[in-house]
Amino acid sequence: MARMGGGPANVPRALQLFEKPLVPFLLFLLPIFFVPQSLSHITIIPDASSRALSLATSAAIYAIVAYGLGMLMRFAGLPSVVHGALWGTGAYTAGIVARDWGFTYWQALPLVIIVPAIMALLVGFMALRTHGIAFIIITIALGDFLVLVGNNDPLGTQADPFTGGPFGLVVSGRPDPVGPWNFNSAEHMYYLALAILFITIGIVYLISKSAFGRRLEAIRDNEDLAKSLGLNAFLYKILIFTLTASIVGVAGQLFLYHTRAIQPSLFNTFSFIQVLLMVVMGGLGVLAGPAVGAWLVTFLPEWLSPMGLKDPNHQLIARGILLMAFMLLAPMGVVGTVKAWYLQLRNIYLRRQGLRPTTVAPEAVGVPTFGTAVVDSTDGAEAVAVAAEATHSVAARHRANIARPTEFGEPLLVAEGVSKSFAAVLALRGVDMSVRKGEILGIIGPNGSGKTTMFNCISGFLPVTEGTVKWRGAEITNWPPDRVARHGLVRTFQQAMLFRSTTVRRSIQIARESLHAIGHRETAQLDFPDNVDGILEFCDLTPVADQPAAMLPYGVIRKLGVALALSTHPYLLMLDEPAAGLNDIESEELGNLLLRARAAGVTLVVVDHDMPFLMPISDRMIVLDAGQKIVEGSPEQIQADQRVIAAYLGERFAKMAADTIQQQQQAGDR
Amino acid sequence: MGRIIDALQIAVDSVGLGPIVKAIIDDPSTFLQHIFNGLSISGIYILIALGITLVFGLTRLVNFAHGQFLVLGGFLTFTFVDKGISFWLAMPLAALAVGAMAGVLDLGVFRRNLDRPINGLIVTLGLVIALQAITVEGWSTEQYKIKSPVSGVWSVDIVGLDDPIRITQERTLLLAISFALVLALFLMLGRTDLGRSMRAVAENRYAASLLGVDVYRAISATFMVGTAMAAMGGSLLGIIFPFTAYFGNSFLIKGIAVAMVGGLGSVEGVLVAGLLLGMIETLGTAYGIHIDMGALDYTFGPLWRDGYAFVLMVIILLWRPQGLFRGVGGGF
Amino acid sequence: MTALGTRLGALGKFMPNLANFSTPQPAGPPELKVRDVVSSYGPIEALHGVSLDVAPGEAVAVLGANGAGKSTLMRSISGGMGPKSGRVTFCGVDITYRPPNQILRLGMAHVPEGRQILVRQTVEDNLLLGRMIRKDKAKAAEDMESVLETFPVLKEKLRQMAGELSGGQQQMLAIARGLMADPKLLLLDEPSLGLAPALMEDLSQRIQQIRKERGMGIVLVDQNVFMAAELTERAYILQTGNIISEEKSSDLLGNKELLSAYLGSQRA
Repeated sequence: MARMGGGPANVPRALQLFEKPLVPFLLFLLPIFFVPQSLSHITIIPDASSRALSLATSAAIYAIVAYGLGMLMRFAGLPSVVHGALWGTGAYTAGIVARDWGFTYWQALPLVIIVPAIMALLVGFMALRTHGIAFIIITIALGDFLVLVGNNDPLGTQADPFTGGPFGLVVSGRPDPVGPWNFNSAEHMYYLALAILFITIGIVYLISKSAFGRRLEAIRDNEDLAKSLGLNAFLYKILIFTLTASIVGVAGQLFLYHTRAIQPSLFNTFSFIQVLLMVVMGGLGVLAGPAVGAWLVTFLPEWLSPMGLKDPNHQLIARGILLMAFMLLAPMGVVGTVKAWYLQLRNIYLRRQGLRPTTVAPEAVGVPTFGTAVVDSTDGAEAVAVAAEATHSVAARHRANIARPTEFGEPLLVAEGVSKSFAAVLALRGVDMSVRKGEILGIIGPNGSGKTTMFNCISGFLPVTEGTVKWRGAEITNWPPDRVARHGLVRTFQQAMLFRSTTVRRSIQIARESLHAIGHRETAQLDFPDNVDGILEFCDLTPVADQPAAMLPYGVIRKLGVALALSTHPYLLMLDEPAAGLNDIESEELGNLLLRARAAGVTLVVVDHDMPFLMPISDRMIVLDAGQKIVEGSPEQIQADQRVIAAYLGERFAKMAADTIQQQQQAGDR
Repeated sequence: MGRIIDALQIAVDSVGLGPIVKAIIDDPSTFLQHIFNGLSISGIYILIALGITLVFGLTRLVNFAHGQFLVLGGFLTFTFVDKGISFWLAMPLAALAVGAMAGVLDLGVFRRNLDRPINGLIVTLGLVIALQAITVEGWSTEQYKIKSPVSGVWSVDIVGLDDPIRITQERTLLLAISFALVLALFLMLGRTDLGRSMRAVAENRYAASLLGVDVYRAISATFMVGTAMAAMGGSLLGIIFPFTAYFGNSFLIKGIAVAMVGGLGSVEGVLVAGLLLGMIETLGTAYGIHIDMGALDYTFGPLWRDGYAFVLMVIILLWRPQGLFRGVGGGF
Repeated sequence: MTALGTRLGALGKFMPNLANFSTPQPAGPPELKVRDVVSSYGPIEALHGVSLDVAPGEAVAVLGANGAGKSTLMRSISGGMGPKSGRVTFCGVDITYRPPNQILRLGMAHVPEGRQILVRQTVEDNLLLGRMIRKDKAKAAEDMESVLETFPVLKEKLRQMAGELSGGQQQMLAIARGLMADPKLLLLDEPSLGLAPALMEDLSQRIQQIRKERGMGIVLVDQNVFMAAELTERAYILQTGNIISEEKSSDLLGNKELLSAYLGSQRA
């Protein structure tokens, strides 16, 4: 019973339940978290109970830190080493207020949440302006600097230590009793750690299901695309950075009370790499990952020590090699790999039953932020291709004649004298442009004429060297791109931009939800569907709704880009070479989509160098060449203009070509 | 003009440079002594940072295990010297050995991650742990010092100063060899086909390939050259300072700081930034930076030696993130 | 082993190809045969099975509008990207999945789209790199002298950064650099891009001169039909990844359909 499209409905009911995130989570974790007595069966240590308990508590605490780091890596795509120092900050805060002010565990808890958060705000403001390698390096630098501060104890003296220098801090006593729980026993400490761990996991789960989490993942996947939809990337990154700091801070306090003594060197880069190992080994993007990783890394040496791995140095070698091996060979980690195997097996089973195997959306597998996505590619590709074919029939239904207005409103966008230079190259020279409400303006010009640069300057992705941009009366020159987008001026990109780890449906959901994201918004009243299904239908995307965006054919990705932009209800939509790489059918469908968008109330500016695509849909056209506007007028005027032809084909050819075209136009050959 | 002097005065006072300037004027020969020491430590920073910046220029990867190569160079040299091999032979031998190891690592590990810098970085983090532990395994956690091939101190009298400057032969050796190596690198990069290939690959891998450059070979060569230089830096370091297996970390961070401040990929940048860090670190540690703002009264002394690199890095990343010089193929 | 190597080679530009450890030796005359090449960039299939031939010393043009796939074709031939399927042979050797540096050693040089000059190196270094693969150093040095005679402006600016040259001069440098490898076949990708018409004339003449001197074959890809008509004997027309026709270059200028395909008064 093969179905077109292959969505989750193909999977038998029993397996569907099995694949929701919570079930595998429990399957992985329950055996580990059982009652402490059973730990002596899991671990192969002779003197089981107390050592096992202590290790298990340690593992739980490390797991909390691992979730903190993992959250940051999964939702923001950033491995941050400074979280080691933030973890230490939590621990030290707890220790210092206990020693100097006599705070109990519970009294110190709010501080332990707030102080690392404040520190994270400071660090984050510095670090989050950078990306990629620079970010990691700056977090390493800041982390080690904080450790240095801890070691040198500038605020303390011999007699009255603050952080206590390299010898660190000692705490006596345990967390004070709460109800029947008296934390003097190791068992109760373990339960406390577990409780906090589960709360942390709960937070991660809630975020992953929330709009906040979806936005973060969108920013992680494609920051520019997210900004073009109005999401304030910097703000969201700071938020998650701070939240994870609080989480690891709480873990720090727990750590202090568990080990009773801490030193700065426990929180430096070198030590923190162990936590990174836990996250990588367990698996990113899967709920159980960091916990499994923490347990494995903590207990593996115990299990292996009968085999002769007693020497802590040997253990370190093993850990280093493990981290390398996992990153190179199995970047999805243990849980991620098991999940991937399961999905492969499931698809084999489905095929045997005569059902078409489903394309697995990467989010279901838990695409790791680093490393390759695991999608069942051969079956998946087939399903995607079939679905994409179906989009043409949806588009065909939309082929009715669409009215073309002849009157347009006030100018929405006015650009005056915009110039842009890159070092020695003058890419734009004093370009003037205005766009009236309700029209479709086409911008055309040969390669290198500055069209994309103009776009980038107007939409805030590049600063202008000279000139002004006015939007609905206000000056928006050099505004940041997300702010421009929030005010109703949205652009699409020349490259195929998408959110790599999502389905079509989820991408549109993210775009729609961004209307409620932080930041003042101005949106247009459009005759445009308000729900995800409606938007999918409007943009001919219904058949591919549940396919992973990354596997779609180019033409469909282009339509998705337009759909995302339209979902934010813009006043004006600027499209950068939307028809590049499309065949005739796809171009025509895209053109129709744009006309429908205009009919719904959106004003459009379209840049392209493909005349056959642009001419039928434009009301007015502007021609750019070598950074200057050379002609402006109706499409027919432009097409026959000698200067335009010269720009494309060269002067010597221009005269002859112009004559030919004029003849054709006169003969009504249109 | 007067206002500029006033402003300078205020700046100098508030940052606590006042006492430093006074100390310099009072005792110029000690100051010159510090300058010399600063120069010699700059040499090591430059040697290690060159490896980092060269590798980044061609592969966009920052190799965190680079610090370990420095340390291994020192350890291997120690063992060779211990077995009776002359230092002059031991140093290049150790460099060759470590360089060869880097070549193997390049084949197995780095190549897979040429276009995934964050993955690559995490892999190198694992490598650091493994290498450090292997080093401890091979030797121990103790401090080691290499027997110096030269010994003695020159007393140099400078006209107009009371005290002579003491220049140790070890530090002179360090300066001389660093200088020679940097010169050799410059010549290699500028005049030889291999150097040109490396520069081409750093700027534009595709264009280089169209010109007939074997991109992989250029990258391997870069790794090995950079590593060998770091290893030699380690050997030279070892005759002056005692070192442990854990030294790699701080030198790595300083190497990265120097490379970033100079502009990743820029050789000239490394020279300038290396000198800058060496000087600031030495002078700052020698004289101490004193902060006196009401309740806070503290001198940042020798304990804060490693902190200068961090501060420099943060400043440059905030002010001019691309570094002082334009790197990545443009610098060399 | 070769099949595995082929699959690996197809994955991307710079993946090591297990079959490629040895430098290929020419096994025949410098004839280029392209058969049924299908190439894609990720999900986009840019070439849907392109075939063409270039006889030794022949000058052939590939014309088409933007996005037709011309540059993709050049890259697929010269090793910059591996085709999904199809075969490319040059000098009798299968070069389908060989990297560009090996193909260069067989005698095919590619002057890429947008020139790809190393702008942060000197003019001299660009040229020296171009001649790096030549075994006969003395002859290579002589060659460089003669190339500098053909493009005297480069001789003037030898020690300057390539980035300081104007567009036209950079184009000349790109061509000179390609010539330094003493190629038997030169692939020229959009040499007229961004050049003023007068410069295009000049360039056109120089290229003709060089061809005569060296007996070199040319594959010219350009939008400028006129340049193609002047420089080549035969032309292939490429449209959205397919070769739709093959013409004599002298017939091009009067071809109205070609013209319309460019300017879109009707869909071809």
